[in-house]
Order: sequence, then C-alpha cells, then structure tokens
Amino acid sequence: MSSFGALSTLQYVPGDSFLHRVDPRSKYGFVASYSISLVSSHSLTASLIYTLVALFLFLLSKLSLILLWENLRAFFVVILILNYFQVALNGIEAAAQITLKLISFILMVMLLLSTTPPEKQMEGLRKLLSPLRRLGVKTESCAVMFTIAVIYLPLLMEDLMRMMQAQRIRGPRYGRWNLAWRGRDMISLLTPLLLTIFRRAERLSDAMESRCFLPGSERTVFYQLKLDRRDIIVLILALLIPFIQFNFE
Amino acid sequence: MRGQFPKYRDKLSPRTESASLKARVGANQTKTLVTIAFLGALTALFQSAGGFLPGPGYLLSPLSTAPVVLAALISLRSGFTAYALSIVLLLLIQPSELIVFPFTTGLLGLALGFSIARSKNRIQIILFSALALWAGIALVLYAFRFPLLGPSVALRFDIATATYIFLFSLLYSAIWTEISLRLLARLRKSVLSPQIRPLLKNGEDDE
Amino acid sequence: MERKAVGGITFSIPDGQFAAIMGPSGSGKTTLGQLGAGLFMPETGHVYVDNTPTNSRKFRSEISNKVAYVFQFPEHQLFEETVFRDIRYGLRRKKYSELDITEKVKDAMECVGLSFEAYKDRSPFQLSGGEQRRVALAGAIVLEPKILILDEPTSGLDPLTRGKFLALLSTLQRTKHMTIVCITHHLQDALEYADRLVILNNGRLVYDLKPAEIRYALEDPAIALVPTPLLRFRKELEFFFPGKIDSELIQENKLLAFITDRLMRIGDEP
Repeated sequence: MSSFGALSTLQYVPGDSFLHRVDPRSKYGFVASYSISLVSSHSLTASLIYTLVALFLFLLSKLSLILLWENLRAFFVVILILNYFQVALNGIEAAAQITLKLISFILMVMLLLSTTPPEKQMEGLRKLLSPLRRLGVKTESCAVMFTIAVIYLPLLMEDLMRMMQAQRIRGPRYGRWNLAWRGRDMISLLTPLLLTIFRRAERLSDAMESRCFLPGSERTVFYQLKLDRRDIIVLILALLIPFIQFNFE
Repeated sequence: MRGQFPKYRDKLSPRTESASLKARVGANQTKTLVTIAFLGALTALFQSAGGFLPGPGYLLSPLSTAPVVLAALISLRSGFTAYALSIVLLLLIQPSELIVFPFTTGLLGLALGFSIARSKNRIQIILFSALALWAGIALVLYAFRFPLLGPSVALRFDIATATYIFLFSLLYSAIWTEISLRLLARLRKSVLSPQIRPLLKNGEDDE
Repeated sequence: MERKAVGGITFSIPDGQFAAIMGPSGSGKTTLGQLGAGLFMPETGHVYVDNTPTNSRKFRSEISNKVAYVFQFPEHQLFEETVFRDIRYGLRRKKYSELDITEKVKDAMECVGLSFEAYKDRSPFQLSGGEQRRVALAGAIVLEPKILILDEPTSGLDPLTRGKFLALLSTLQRTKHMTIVCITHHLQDALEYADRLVILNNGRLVYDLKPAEIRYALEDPAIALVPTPLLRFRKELEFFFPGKIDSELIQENKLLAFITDRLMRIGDEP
C-alpha cells in the first residue's frame, strides 16, 4: 500500500517560489528574528503588521490555501480556548492581539516547513549546529540519525498499518473499555513492530558498516548549500524586523 | 490481571530485563545509532498517528511512550537522543503534538526507562515516573498556561486539582510500568536469543 | 500523493476455484486482494462475499469468518508469544472449549506440515521464513474459511518449499473445498496449480483466462509476462509437431505424460 509516499508524512510541498529557493539557514534566521519580535511586541498595530508580513510571504510562496487551513485546524481548538480566556480576563484587544500573534507564528513555521525539503533542512541544521561540536555534541551522528528516521518513517508506518490490518482481520477486538485487553492488544501490536525494528536495525547497520560508515567521521553531502543574493535580502529583512515594533511602541 | 501480581513480582526483575537489551544493542555504535533513529521515528509515528491514520489513530498516541522507554533502557543518553529526535520529527510532521509529547508521553517514557534500568522494585519505578509525569503536566498547565487536559481543568494552582492530577499520573504510570515490563519480557524471549541470526537464512533463497 | 490503485474491475470467483491474480509490480494486485478480503472498502463500486457486501457493519463478523487473508510478509501477521497462541488467536472469540481449540490448532498445524508437539511452544519470531509462512497459513485455516486469499505466498522460499506450499494449497482446495485466491507474479506456479488466471496491469483487469489460454497474454507486449521454460519447450515442440500438441497440455505432468506416451508409441511402431 504505497499511497503514502516518502514525503507525504512531512509538511514539505514541492514548488518553485522565491521562498523555496532561499537557503534554509537564512530562513531559520528570519523565522527566529520574526518570532522573537513577535513575542515581545505589545501593540495591536505591530501584531497586525507582523501578520500582514506573514500573509505576504504566504502569497509569495504560492502554497495553496487548503494547506493553510489544514495546519490551522490543528490549532483551532487552542485558539478558541485562548480567546475565551483572554476576552474574559483582559478584554477584546488583548484577545485579538494574541490570536493574531498565534496565527502568524503558525503561518511562519508552516511556511518554513513547507518550502524546505527535509534534506536541506537537515543540512542547514547541521551547518548551524556545527559550532556545537566544540562542546562535544555529536552533530554528525545526529544528522545521520535524523536522515534515517525521516526516510524510514513511511516504511514503519506501512508496517504498522499492515500489522493493524492483520490483527483486525484475524479476530474482532474487544470492547474499548476493557482495560486489561486493551493493554494486551497494545503489546501485541508493539511486539512485532519493535522486533521488526531491531532486526532492520541490525541489517541496516551491517550494510552501513560494510560501506565503511564510521560514526562520528566527516561526511560529504549531496546538497551543497550556498548563500546567494536572495539569502542576503532575506537576512537583511530579518535584521530589519525588530525595528517595526520599535516604531509602534 | 490482579491475581497475577505476586507471580510477576518475582519473575520480572526490572534490572535483568534491561541488561540483556543493553548488551545486545549497545555493543555496536552503528547499531545503537540506527536503533535510536528507528525508535525515534516510531515514537513520532505513534504520537502523530491521529493526524493521518484512517480511523481511530489518536488511540495510538499514548503508545509513543514505549519506544522512548526502550531507548532509555539502552542508555539514558540514547533515551534522550531518541526523545529529542522525536521532537524534531514531530515538528516536521505534526507540530500540534509538540505541546503534548515532550511533557507527557515522552517524559514518562524517559522516566520509566531510567527507573527500570536502575531500580529494584516496582514501587520505586511507579513513583518516580508518576512524579515525572505530574511535573510535566504541571509545567504545561501552570507555567505555560495551556489547557492540556481540556478546558475544564483550572489553570491556576489548586491543591485539589493538583492532587487529582497526581493520582491520575500514578495510575497511568502504574499501567505503563506493567506494560513496559511485560513488553520487555516478550522482547527478551523473542529477540535476545542468539538463535535468531542463523534461522533467518533457513529455507529462504533468492529465486 | 494519491493514486488510483485499481479501477474498473468487475469479476467474480465461484466457489472452489483456485484463482491466481497476476501482473507486474504496482499493478494493484495486493490492493485487489485486500479489497476482496474486506480489509478496506472501495471508493466506488461494491465488493461482495457470498452476496453480502463487505462494507456492511452488520455482517462484518460473518465476512471475517468466511474470508482469511495471509499477508506477504509473515512478520506482519505473527505476534503472539508462542506458535500455539498465535494460531489460536482467531478462535479466541468463538467460545470453544479448551479441548476443542487444541484439537483445531493441532489439525491446522498437521495440515500445514508442522508437528504439533515440536512447534507449539516455540516463538514465531525464531522460525525460518518457510516455517513462519506455514504458521501464518495455519492461523488462517484454523478459522475454516471458505475463501483463502494469499499475497505472494511463495516469495522468498526455496523451490522445494515452494512446491510443497502450493501442493498444500491445492490439497486444501480439493479436500476442504476452499476457494483459493493467490496473488503471485510467478507464472510457472500459476500455470501449474491455478484453474484461472486474472491478469492486471496498471490497476485494470486485462486478461481473465484459463491456463491453457495463456498464449494470448504472452503475445501482448504490454504485459510483462515472460514465457516459462516449460512454455518455451512447448513452443519448440509445436514447431516440430504442428497441430499435435493440445493447448490443454500446459501443466508439467500432463506434458510429460503426453511425451512419454508418444515416445512409447514410437518405440512400438516399426
């Protein structure tokens, strides 16, 4: 059942917009600066402007509105609850402000994730985190683990679905509220899955080692990240963002 | 299940269960790496299952504790790596779960794994994990002011509510302690027997 | 990334038939098998098992009783602690007595060729591939289904085990009157054992033939079917003795019998 392709579990949407072509590191910088400014701003006008910025970027990315809705839907309940509390405690203006902030934050993160393929993200993170190596954090191994996890996620999902199907078809489940049997069912689902994982891990690690993989060694990368004109623009904008709110405070 | 308690207390000694797992997986660095990657992926998969599985996917979310427990049994560092990896993966797949996982199911997994590897009896395990879970929930409810347990639970510190939450954590971690130990026992029987490698090659042939 | 796996297929399998569903990888064979077992529901159209639709909740348990599905990879199906408990899994809701259950499990195991005593307490994860498949099969037939759907049951098995497995399926078909649907891409096996070949391509049904009619499918360049050695041999024979090789002689034993017979006759002629 390959209806779930390798990338459909992630939020990345392939495309060719301006945002897609920007280096992930600049994007991270921009989002970081934006988020910090967003969180620390206290005026409604500033929040409004930030939201407009986010919306503008969204239009720039040529992503579909449905995607936006899907993402927001998950937080819908959160937004509602937050609104309720804020209106009750602090008034409508505060509620509007916090809603705008939340929406624009979600939008920015969604843009970041949807316009950067996981390989580039991984590479971007790796480069950004490389100074941490001096502190003893093994960034190379982390990068490898991340890649493996991302690649195997859909495969594991397929295995999980097959196992659930197999159990379902071999016998009906017990009622939901029978706790002991629910526990048993969970264990029966977990055991074969975990065993599959262990076996696969053995095979994969053997295969990797047979290709001279050594944990912690220097590795070369397929996707070389380069900063170009676009990224400089983005980085300059990132630096300018905090000034928006200084204007309105 | 109640009646079997006395039997199991003797049979399932937490330390021995985890020791064999550690020996098998922890020996080889690459294998540990790959295993942790898989466990992290599985954790993220379970936790976010509600989002893309047809049918009752959300029922799978609590299962994300199990792989974290296993990872933490290999070594606390591995557990933490798997935990962090799952968080990053969840960020990519289903960011809305990031409010739940690090403070509840994931934290519980770490605490369980840590205590199973070190304690001798179940009471210690249950208490420690319950405390960890309670601390996690409390952090989200009171410090972040996020209605984790639904809109009806008060966001201001209140002794009565806090006690209820603690009792709930106690119950939940007791259930998970039991599940983890039984799971370990089963895995131990199936995986950790040295017979498995040669048998994989019997009767199988490339056409 | 959704893609239509199968579309526009209409056919039915009568009782007691051994049908082989074939086609290149990605042609939708597995999906078709899963639809047949009621594992998931078609978006349009209907699937009926014994005239009950698979998407009716009321008859869900009836349908699961009648159809058994064996997955391509046994590790997706086996999960209990011991072989005995795994095979028994399907019966747990049926309210049989312990003795009855043991009898049935023993029966099923003997049927697939696993000695009851030797295997009942072993962990399914420690068995070899062939043994695991047999356990999975036993777990399916212990329910005494009327229809058995198997997904690539012989992939990864050595030739001897493969032959035994298929012979076992054939026996089940004859003695227990089970309808057997085998998803496979192995033409030779299908020709030997199946009564009917259903060939898919790109999610569509392209051929529905008896084994003797296989040449129509072979001549079609769109279908990735390679003639088996036996078929090639037959073709050579036809070349030398045009018109004398009956199209029904598609199975190995029949062909051999025919040749032996002719050779004997040659020996008799002056």
